Amino acid sequence: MRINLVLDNTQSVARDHLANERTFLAWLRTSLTFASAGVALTQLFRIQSLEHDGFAHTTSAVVGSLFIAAGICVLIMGTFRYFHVQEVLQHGRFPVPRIGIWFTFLVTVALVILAFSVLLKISVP
Amino acid sequence: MEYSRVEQQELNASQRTFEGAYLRTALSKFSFGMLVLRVFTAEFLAIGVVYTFSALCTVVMALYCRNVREGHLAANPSTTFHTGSSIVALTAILDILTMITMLILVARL
Repeated sequence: MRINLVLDNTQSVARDHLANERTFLAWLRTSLTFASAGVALTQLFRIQSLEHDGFAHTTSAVVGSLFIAAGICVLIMGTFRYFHVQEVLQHGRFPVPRIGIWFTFLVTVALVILAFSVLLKISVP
Repeated sequence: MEYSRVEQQELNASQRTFEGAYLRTALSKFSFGMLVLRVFTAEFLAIGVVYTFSALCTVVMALYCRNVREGHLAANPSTTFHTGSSIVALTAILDILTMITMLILVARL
């Protein structure tokens, strides 16, 4: 527990930092959802092709890996954001997230479109 | 023991964080790990095991930190506050390792 900061608890310091910790956990759950979706899609694409389909087999692993990679990126971003906000809060300021939100949005849209087109390609031969 | 309004607000916030957010995170890992173990085909077994193990680690870490930090907050509520950097760093490392393992397992399927 050595790297924890010890701060004077005036006004809403404790609540602000606890809220920051919950925001980190929310990013963590977002990234876990990406990873779970990746694993679930890998399984789903393999059920679709009941006879052994080489294309479905390879594509499912690729799409699943991309989802998990997106999850790793979101988690790294959330972790950096936690430590950044913790630093900035001590000077009484708060950074509003912009790039992180856009990044998550664009990655989600791209992955959903990719998953949808692969699903169409596999189920409609 | 009587708490002032500010102290009560701080205890509420810490309960939202520990009893709420940390355990919710562990729960979502457990439920998906269970789904993978019970419903998915046998080739996904290792992934389910990794998920469930990661959930167990999260529960242990969350409960340990909850006891340490909530105890600290309840003992002297409005003097100092210890931030959660160490558990956040530990959780982040655990989950990045979990996801890298899953990435390797899925890519090799």
